[in-house]
Amino acid sequence: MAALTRAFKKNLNTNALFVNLTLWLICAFCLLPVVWTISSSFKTRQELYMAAPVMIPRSPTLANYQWIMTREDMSRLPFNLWNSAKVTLGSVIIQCIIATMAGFAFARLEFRGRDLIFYLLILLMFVPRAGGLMALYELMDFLHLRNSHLGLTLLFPSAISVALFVMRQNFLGVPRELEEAAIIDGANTWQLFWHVDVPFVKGGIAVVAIWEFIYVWGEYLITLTMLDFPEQETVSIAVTKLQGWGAHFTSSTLAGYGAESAAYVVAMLPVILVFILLQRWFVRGLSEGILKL
Amino acid sequence: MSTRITRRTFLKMTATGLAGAALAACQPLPAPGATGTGAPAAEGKVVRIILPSWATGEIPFDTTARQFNEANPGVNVQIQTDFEGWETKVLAQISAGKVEWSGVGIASSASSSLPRWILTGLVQPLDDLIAASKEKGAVDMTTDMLPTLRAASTHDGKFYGIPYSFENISFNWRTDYFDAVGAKEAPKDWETWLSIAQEIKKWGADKKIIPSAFIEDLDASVGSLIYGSLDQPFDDNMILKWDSPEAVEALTFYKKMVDGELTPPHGFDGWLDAYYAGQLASVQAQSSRGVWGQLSFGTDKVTTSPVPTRDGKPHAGTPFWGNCVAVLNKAPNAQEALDYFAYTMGPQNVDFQKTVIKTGKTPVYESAYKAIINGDPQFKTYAWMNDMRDQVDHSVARPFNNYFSIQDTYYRKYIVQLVEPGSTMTPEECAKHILEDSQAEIAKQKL
Amino acid sequence: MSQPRVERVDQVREQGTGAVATQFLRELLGLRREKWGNLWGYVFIAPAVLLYFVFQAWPILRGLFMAFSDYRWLIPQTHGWAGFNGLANWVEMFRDETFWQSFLIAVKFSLMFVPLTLILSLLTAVLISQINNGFSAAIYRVIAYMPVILPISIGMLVWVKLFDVRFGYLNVLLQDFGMANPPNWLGSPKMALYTMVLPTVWSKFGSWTLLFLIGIYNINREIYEAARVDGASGWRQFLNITLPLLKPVFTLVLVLGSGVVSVTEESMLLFGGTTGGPAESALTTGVYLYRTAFIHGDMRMGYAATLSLFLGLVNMLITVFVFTTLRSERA
Repeated sequence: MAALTRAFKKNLNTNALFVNLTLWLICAFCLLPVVWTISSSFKTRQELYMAAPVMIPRSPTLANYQWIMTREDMSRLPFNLWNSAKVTLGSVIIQCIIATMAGFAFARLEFRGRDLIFYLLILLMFVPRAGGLMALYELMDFLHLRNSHLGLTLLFPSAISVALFVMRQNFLGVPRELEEAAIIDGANTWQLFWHVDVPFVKGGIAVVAIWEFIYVWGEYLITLTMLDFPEQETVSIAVTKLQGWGAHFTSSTLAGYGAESAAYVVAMLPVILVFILLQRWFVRGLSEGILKL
Repeated sequence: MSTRITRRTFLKMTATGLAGAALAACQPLPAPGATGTGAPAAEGKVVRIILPSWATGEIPFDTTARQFNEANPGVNVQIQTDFEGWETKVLAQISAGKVEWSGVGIASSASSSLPRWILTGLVQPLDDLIAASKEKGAVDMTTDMLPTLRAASTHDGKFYGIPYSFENISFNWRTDYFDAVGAKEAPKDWETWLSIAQEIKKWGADKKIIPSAFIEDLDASVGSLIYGSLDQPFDDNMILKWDSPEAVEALTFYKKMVDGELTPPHGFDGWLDAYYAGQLASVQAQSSRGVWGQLSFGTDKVTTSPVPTRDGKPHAGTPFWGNCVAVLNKAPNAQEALDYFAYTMGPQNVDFQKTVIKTGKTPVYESAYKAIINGDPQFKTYAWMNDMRDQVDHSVARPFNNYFSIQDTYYRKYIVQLVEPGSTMTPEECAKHILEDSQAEIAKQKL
Repeated sequence: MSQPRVERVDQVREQGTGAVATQFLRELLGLRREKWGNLWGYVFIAPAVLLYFVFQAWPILRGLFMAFSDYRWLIPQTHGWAGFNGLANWVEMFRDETFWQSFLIAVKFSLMFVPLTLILSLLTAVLISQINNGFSAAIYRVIAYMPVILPISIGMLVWVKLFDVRFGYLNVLLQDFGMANPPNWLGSPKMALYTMVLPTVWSKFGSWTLLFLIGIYNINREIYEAARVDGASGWRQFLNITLPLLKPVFTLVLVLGSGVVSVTEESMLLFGGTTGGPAESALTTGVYLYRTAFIHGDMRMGYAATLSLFLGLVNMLITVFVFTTLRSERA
């Protein structure tokens, strides 16, 4: 018996080696492009164009960042960041408010047609979104919401399904007894919602907020289709149109490759920070939202 | 019952909510695209001008607008950045009879955009406006302008687009690299080009130097080669003579350059980074690309010459185009718009001409060559522009239609197939595909 | 306040779309008999429902009509309901060579992308679940998921930098390993479509990994213990316990991710615009229809909607097929 356990343990060790090795490879695959970009963003022209470029810059410089953030004539990155911040925060706030309110109603209130509407929301998720973008273009133009950040901040939170399920699930978890006590004390529906239920579902709201933040910050195709003016562009659009070559003749040490890399790093920094700092909420969002669809 | 509300309260609340939403939807949107000309809006005669952001970034249209407004009280010129779909919007306004904007740019004459603007009725003839203008530069503008460029902006005897600069395809080369293999001058014909390229490849092998590159567009690559082989590159239907032996020879030469690894893969992949890395010895492109190189490596390291041709003779020259502004059809304050253009871009505005030259775009006025390029010692390094002027002087303008851009689409598709390693396509087949697909597409055009 | 009704909604949902549809009809018929109840409910759902129906539901319905009309954005006469042209778009579609070419490319791409992503994400999930140290498991999870949260444009552009023929790290590495002529990743028409698989898998497999991982974590540890006592090897455990118990996650992942992927954004970002890569070798249906609707000619939104609806129907069929297959296997 002892021999068997020993053999088992040995087996486990080779297993562990294999497991870790494979995972390192996968991690390398995940990180390679990002790390290469970060590395390039700290390089000068000379190092970027070396015959055999290396991963770790020998004489790192911040000049690429300085160029991309201050050369207003060549790069509108600061404005683009501001646009992104506006659209993203607006969408997050609107989605949190509407999803919380609707989640509460679908989980806790009884009214005619409630389940009917809910079933309809589920069913519509399965209808193919044929021509969705074309019809959206027409709709936004009709409402005068094309070329408008207001339009985007209304459009993005309207994709409510996942957020709604998350919030409904959270409200279902609030203990009934608390509500009943509040009702006896004479609380009306709004007070019930605001003072009794909402404090319980703050976690759910955080999940919704983070997901919406990540989604809107990175949204590409709809934003591209809805905005015509360069000065309105969000970062996720602007990075595709960078004129990094400007770095070549406005500076003697920089290269477009490095300046563009710096812009990518600046643009992805917010999502990476949010993700790393708040990563446990992601798992929760997945298990409460998508897995429940 | 405290958790209930009455039906009436509910209806009232719903109505208020809907009214609020309706109000929000109707609220006026911020005027898009205003890039701060500093002047307050809606004061005096407002002249709105649409320009692409690359042009406003390169040339100080904003500054001259401010100066023009100061010099002309009661006129308020505003520069706006263009946006996708603006042409449609303006055309709709023209047919409705109420146009917001007055001026527009940048259209390329002798290319597809200015002809399209004229044929769709987007812009109006300028002759009467020029004659009526009180600006000093207005009259000089047409007399001082290079004749080929004036002709390229003219349709049915009327003048439509004012160029502020022109560009043509040229041979931009590193004098130091060519010097290293004993070439003091740019090659004149393809054979010399090929042999110099092979020398440079050998000489620069350890530094991974690419002898030559093209840019992707038809006009900058094989299009130019065809121009340089024929006196009249277009057939009766105004399509490039793809089925001529000269065109096939141009494709063959291009393929030879790629196969011999004398250019990047496909002739163009990644040329710009290679150029900036100092790993590219020459590029056939707009002349402004040569100035990009001068700004990076120094004026003594890069220069611009006419494109080498099949037999060393110039034939039809190279594709060229003027960068034009124009006045919209039914524009409000059309005269003021023209006055502003004349004030800014006329030959009398020497500072403006100097700015244009410094961007590497060649000026359109004879006087600019006399007074600035050949007269001002500070502009000695731009002497190569004289060659470009001569080149354009004898170049054949592209026909007045958008067939060239249609051919460009199919050219890009088939050239890659032709020069792909291991490709079995012959230059004849490639030419045939481009010609047939272009003809089929042109047949579908309603314009 | 009758609690059971709320729970019934979840039960119906778990039974699938058919049950939801039936229940929807039943609710519709019984609507008149329902009590008005707490009217605050309407106030609470109004903003969400209003936004949803205006910006989500309406475009779906409008798109369905658009697919049967010759709607051209630049030609006002075809706007609104005027462009209706019956099945003409569909006839054109069946004759459209570029469309079938693009469809073939999309199918080819999906046949590479879906299995690869599935295998890689399952492998990663199983491996991470083997890590007992909570901290390092969390690190692996974060790293595997990071590509998913990056903006799609950045994700693709960093790959473009990496794929650069001369200055990209990939080719530098390959040259270090002695390859004299490293591939022209994005430039060659023979490579471009295969090259595109790499960044796409990279940007998607993390989310599937996390779903699988949650599924594995939810499997009762005792089952494994029991199997171990019975002497089942790791591989056996995986085949006999993990895989069958992961079936709901499989169903979910395949329903969400299988089908003909149109990779519109990826192609547009990797190749810069709607060119479809060198010699249109990576022109998927998504890119082709975006080009038809927003870039070329009269902006033929009607025809683009037809292509889009066709793709949607094909994918619906595949989803239904996946769903019924996985379901019947259980029985």
